[in-house]
Amino acid sequence: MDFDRRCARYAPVSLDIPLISNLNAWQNIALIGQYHDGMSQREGKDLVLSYFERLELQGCEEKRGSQLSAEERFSVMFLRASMINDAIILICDPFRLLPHHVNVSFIYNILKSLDDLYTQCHIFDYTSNKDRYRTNDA
Amino acid sequence: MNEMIESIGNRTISIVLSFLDICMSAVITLSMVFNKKTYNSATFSVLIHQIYYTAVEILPLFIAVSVFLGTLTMGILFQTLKQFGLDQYLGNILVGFAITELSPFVTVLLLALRSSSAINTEIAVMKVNRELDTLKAFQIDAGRYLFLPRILNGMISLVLLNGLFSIILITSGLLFSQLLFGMGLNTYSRLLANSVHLSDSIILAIKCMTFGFFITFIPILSGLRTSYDLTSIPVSVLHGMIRVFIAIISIEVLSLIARFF
Repeated sequence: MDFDRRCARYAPVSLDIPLISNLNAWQNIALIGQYHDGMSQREGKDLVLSYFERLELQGCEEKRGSQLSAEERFSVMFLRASMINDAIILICDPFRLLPHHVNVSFIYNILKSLDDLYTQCHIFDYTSNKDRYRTNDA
Repeated sequence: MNEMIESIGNRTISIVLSFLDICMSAVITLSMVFNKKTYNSATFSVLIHQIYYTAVEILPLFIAVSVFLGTLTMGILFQTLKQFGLDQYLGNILVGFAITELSPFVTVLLLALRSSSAINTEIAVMKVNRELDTLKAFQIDAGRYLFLPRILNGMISLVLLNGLFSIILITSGLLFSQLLFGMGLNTYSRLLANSVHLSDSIILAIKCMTFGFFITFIPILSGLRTSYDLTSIPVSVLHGMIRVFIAIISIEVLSLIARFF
């Protein structure tokens, strides 16, 4: 039971877990709250718009996945993951989502801006990308 | 000889298994309709969008086809009745043929051509893009969130559009009964009321809902069976649409048999 509850908290951010193509950015994020927490569409939209304001993503809410830039898509995926209650966010191979980024500063900024929305965040990547994290213990 | 028998046997087993699979999945899906957990703002939102795409967006085309086909059919039908002196059967033929048979058949064909193919493609694309994996990763039941609203939409839209087609047929019938038989509105409505039987109405309602169920359910199943290659999408749509047309013909035949008993 505890294992199931813990599993339900895992929220992936990965290229293999794409955005739903027939939903726009805010709908992709609000869907989690609407489905699991019985949030209304209005409440979901308002909440997502407030998160967009925090990340300075205003204007992206009506865009579909294919219309978003790599950074916007990553942010939307991160917000979607953070909609899970007590989320344990698992970011898998982030540089496949952000191919033009040479280091992890963009991801760290997002983690810092939204640190109240998740309990843990783990980044999984290949050791070949070690230098991009500026750490010695990766 | 043995090979031929084996091949026929294998084919038969595969058809029977496929049919049983469809029936089992249909039962499971239908059981979700009565589960309170199924309904939340996400599923309602999908349902409303689906009804808009299926029953509202199609209205201009649907009304144009209904008026054209309805007027033409009624004109030919009433002219034939007049020629053969069968005007006393006008009500029975209008209700028994035009409203209970023609109307649902044309409606289901129009919806199948437009919506079934769209649903099949949508689900297949979602499968290929691994969007169904996304739903799984976030513990969203695809059956509840994606499939059931589409199936309910099929059933609701078919009943509503069939009603609209029937109204257009009845209006065309009124026009031709006045033109060809000099019949007034009162006589026409009395004739219609006398020809309507409760059993026919029940069969019509069940038939419409069954049509609506299968023209959405079969494309969903077909879309789900798509492999992860982009090239399998058109093959999936092709197979799905063939199954939809087989289902339409089977339901039509079964409803005709039901009416005889």
